[in-house]
Amino acid sequence: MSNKEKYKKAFSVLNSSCDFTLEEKRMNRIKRENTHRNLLVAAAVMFVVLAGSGTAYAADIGGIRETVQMWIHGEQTDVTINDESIEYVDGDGNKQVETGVSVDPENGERPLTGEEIAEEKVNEVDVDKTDDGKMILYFHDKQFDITDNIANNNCKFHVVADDGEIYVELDIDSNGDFSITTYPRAELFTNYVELK
Amino acid sequence: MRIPVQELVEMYKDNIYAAAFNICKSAADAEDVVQDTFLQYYMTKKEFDDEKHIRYWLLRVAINKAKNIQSSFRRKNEMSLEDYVETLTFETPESRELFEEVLKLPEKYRVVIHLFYYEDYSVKEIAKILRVTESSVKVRLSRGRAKLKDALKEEWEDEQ
Repeated sequence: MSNKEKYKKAFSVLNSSCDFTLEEKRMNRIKRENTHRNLLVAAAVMFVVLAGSGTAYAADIGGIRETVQMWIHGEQTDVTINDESIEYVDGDGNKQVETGVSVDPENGERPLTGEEIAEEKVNEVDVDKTDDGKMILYFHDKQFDITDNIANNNCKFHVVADDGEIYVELDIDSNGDFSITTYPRAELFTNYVELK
Repeated sequence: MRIPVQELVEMYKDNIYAAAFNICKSAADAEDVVQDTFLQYYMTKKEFDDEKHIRYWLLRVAINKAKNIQSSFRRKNEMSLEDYVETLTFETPESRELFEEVLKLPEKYRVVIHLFYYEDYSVKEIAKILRVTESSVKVRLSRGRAKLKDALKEEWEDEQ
């Protein structure tokens, strides 16, 4: 039995007991009820928004500022930007909180702001080894299969997305573990593979 | 074209219920989604190209409604998921295990897996329904399959 057949068999137990009576009269009643419910929902939403404003005000002192959508690991993800951190739920459903530190020889250390961390994050390059052994490189909304390049020892890439570009170098050890170094410009590169 | 809502209810109520349940994991919420989706069809003046277009539209509306309920205060949760699963009659223990493992997946994988394996939609069609990129659907499908393979072992064929 194929996976599709197994899946359909398993989920065929779900049957709606929906009694959708079909007379026009009843439909009209449902319409009215639905309108009434929507008004109630709207009133409740207004309450939440007002309460939310209070939260946002309080949060300006120590918390949430805004939520934006960003490409993370090839997926569009809601990211909450706090004063000194960002938060999002990763592809496995785990909540991630990221912070950062800026080290300046003159001014010493300071925590990165949420905006700075988000800016770093949006330009982050991810490389993932899939279960079937493929190497996938993610940048913004793009993803590239670089398995063959790596097999041929081509580990330097110029990656171009619609709204940005970056130069990437992968350093792979004998165990197959790798580190990623990125550069905004090509000065340090002599040969690289174009990924567009 | 339009198909009378009474015919659509008979044709698609179980599909919509299954898709909504897959997201809400609540029978009561899924029933609400079924009602609201057909109500929206009844109320819309939209013309459709064909039956396939209607099915696509119904599923997209249902999925959006289910996601809205999932993230709102409207949740009913009259019965726990475990109690509800006990009321279902699975043909085999393997079917029950598959059902339970799918519901353990993160929502974004569950929806894609369901549309692919239950509704027979292609990656391209799923991307249109969910309004995400095809590559995102592929990634979610691949990760969802991998998790099912991990959990179900030989009961789930390797399709990577």
